[in-house]
Amino acid sequence: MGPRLRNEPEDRNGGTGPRPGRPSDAELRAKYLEYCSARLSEVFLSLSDEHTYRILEEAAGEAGEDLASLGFQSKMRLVTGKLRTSVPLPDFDAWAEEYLRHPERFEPMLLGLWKDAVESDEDGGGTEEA
Amino acid sequence: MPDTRAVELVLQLPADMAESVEEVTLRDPEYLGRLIRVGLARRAVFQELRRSLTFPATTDSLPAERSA
Repeated sequence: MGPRLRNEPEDRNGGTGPRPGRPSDAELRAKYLEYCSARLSEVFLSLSDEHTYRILEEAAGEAGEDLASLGFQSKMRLVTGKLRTSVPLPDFDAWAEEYLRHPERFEPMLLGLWKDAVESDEDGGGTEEA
Repeated sequence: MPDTRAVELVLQLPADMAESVEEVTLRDPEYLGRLIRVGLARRAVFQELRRSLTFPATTDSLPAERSA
């Protein structure tokens, strides 16, 4: 059972099982991840090439990696790690409560990346790319 | 400037949208490339967060219960 709105009443059966129309926990978690990725991407895409390179150089140095030999995914891994330390993100519970109250505020921001994650979770799979 | 190479894409789109794509491509040949970069960046960040963000084991309890 995932986050439920504070003060939200129990369902008609008196239980706490999934409610009709309520997103599954896996869906909520995947949408939260996509929301966070949208926030981080927005910052990333606003950076100048020079700033991005500086961040990459710094992150690669800290990780002991050779920037010149890294591919796109690896560079994005490094940049994402750096941005996570400087871009404030909501914690999952607070986000989930807000989403459940006002899904219409969040849905337009989502491109649908969360769908693969939900399917993969339900299949017992992990991340697509390590 | 990183190494670049051409990629050919064939998309099935609603006819009016396809016309818009052709029009935009003629007017601003770099636009779709920028759009794809935005989408790929979003996807890469999502994959990385999915790999690295962990949800606490207590996630499956209710926030109200946890804050009580």
